[in-house]
Amino acid sequence: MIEATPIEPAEVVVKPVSSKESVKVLQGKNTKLQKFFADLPIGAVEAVSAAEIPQNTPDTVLISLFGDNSSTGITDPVLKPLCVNLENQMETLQSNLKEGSTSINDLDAAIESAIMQTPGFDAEFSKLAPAEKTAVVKRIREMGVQAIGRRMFMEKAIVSTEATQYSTAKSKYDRIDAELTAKGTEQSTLKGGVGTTDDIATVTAHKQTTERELNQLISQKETLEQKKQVIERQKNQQRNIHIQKGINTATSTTPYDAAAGIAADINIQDYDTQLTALDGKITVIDTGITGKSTNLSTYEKQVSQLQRIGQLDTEISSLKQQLTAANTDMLTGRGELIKRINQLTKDFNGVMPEAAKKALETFKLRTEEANREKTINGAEEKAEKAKKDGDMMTLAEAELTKAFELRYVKEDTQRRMSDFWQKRKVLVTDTVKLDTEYNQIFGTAGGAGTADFAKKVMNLGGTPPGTGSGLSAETIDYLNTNPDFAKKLIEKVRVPLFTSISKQAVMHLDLSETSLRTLASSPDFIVAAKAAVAADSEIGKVIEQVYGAKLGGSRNIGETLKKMPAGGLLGIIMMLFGLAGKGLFTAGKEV
Amino acid sequence: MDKDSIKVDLLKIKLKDLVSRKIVDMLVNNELPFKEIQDMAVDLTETLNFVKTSEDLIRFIKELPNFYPYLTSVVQIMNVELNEVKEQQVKTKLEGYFKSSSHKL
Repeated sequence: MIEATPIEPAEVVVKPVSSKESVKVLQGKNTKLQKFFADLPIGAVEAVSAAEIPQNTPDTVLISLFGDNSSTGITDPVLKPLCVNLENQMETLQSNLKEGSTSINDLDAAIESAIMQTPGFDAEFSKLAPAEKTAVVKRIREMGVQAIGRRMFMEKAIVSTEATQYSTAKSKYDRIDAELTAKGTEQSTLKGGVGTTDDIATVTAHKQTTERELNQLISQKETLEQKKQVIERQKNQQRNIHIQKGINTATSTTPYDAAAGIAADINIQDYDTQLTALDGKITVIDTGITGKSTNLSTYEKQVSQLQRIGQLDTEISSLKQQLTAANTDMLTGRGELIKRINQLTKDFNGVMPEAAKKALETFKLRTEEANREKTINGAEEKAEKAKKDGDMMTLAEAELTKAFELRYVKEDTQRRMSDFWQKRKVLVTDTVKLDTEYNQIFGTAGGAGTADFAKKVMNLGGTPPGTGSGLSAETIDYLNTNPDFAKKLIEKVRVPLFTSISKQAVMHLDLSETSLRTLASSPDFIVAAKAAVAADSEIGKVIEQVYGAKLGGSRNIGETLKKMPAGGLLGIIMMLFGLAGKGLFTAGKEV
Repeated sequence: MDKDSIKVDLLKIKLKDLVSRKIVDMLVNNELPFKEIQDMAVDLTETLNFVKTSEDLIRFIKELPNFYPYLTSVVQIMNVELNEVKEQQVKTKLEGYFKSSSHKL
């Protein structure tokens, strides 16, 4: 059996739009616009990184594989729902494009730039009023801008291993199927025209019998012919007697009449009678021979046809087996291709939520960085002033605040180009250290925990006490020469330190509900919460909204927080720490 | 828009196209995890927002392989594209030099 040559999947060819067609674009009538933008050089970067999602309807795939780019035209029970789903998703994704985001503005600028480089199109575009230009660009973007990403995506799907294997398997299946059909048709035609319902053995037997009978008739005819020859010889001999007599008496006075003699010869008459009888028999036999010959031809033809029918049975059976195998390969190939397309579209589908999540994470990190810088700057200024004023307590507090901001961060290798570009030092949170020390606070009772923690941060156990805590030499000196100073400093800093570590823990550690409730019920947190509510009535209103009842004064905050559901509690904690709600928007502006 | 900005815009578009195709290759061939590809795409999109001039673009292309070695092929193609830009820069500098020299004379 000759193996099928693998057929290359159809190449995706996209022609540029003519000026005439481009005019239709401007009138919003060109539904094949995406083909034009297949050559526009903007694609998966935006698709993967931002809000631009490529269309998911695999038109090109559908056409190349199934000859139909309309999901309604596809009857395949597996693919139809897939295609319908993809089309619906495309509509949803397109409607998710948010106006005014940076990436869309960027995209619009690029579209316009590309338009201006297209002969014919640029001239028409230039004639439009600004509002019309904006509308055209928007329409172009919404209709087909990610046809690029989609086309490249589909091109890749088409020339992927899975698509090639499927295409090869399908070609083989089609070839075998066609051959099977042809042979089936041949067999039907033969069966219809063979003119007998007998099997080949019976017909062969008939043929052999007919052959035998024919041979017998021929043999009989030969025998009769021979007999005829004998009789004719005898007749001639008898005639010759008369003829000779005639010749002998030709010159006498009474010549002999040979003809009369022949006519009257009863032997000759008898011979004629015999010859006539023999001719009659031969004629009958001839008729029989003709009949048998005709029958023999018929039987010979039938045998040949029946042989061919039998051969076709064998060939068809073999082809059916091959077709089953090819069908299996094709279905397997199609299954793999569908899986691959599904995976690719899933990846692209996940872009929007992932991009949104990514954007949120990036925003939160940037907020944290900005807050950290702000805190450090504030602390440094405070320290400067305190030094001038000789206020050791404030100086110590400011120095500790600055040191603490950097306690749980470490420098990371710059892996992002944008950080390098903006000359940003990349600091990441040391979550291990953060987790250890956060748990140390809540390892003991709340109040004592934060006091112990403050002592640890101040490194009162060091030699001398305060070394390596971030306190300056001058402050350390003062600390060690004034016995009450340490105690007072601990009282002053323990809540701010606690707030700071708690904020970072909420942001970077995956705190359980139990941890959150422990945090929210600790005395220092409640102090901080009360202060926040007292300072900003909006915060109190938010708490009431989440709690669903009036606070009844800041004294009840602790009780209120205890009764809150976990989700609401987390939200309130984040808000109080400036990680969400009001606090986040303020920080965002500062960024 | 001056000539330089238009040129930079066009080169940025070209760059995005090359990176796009590479991204699709990487996604289809599972060369990298999707998250890593996405991080790269986010990073490049963000950085390209800061690229305004030819100098910026030249610097961008120069730094690109240090962060994303698998985009080396893109860098090679872009370097060819940038040759014209670099030539023009040199010409402009020379013109400036000659102008100031002749002025001194």
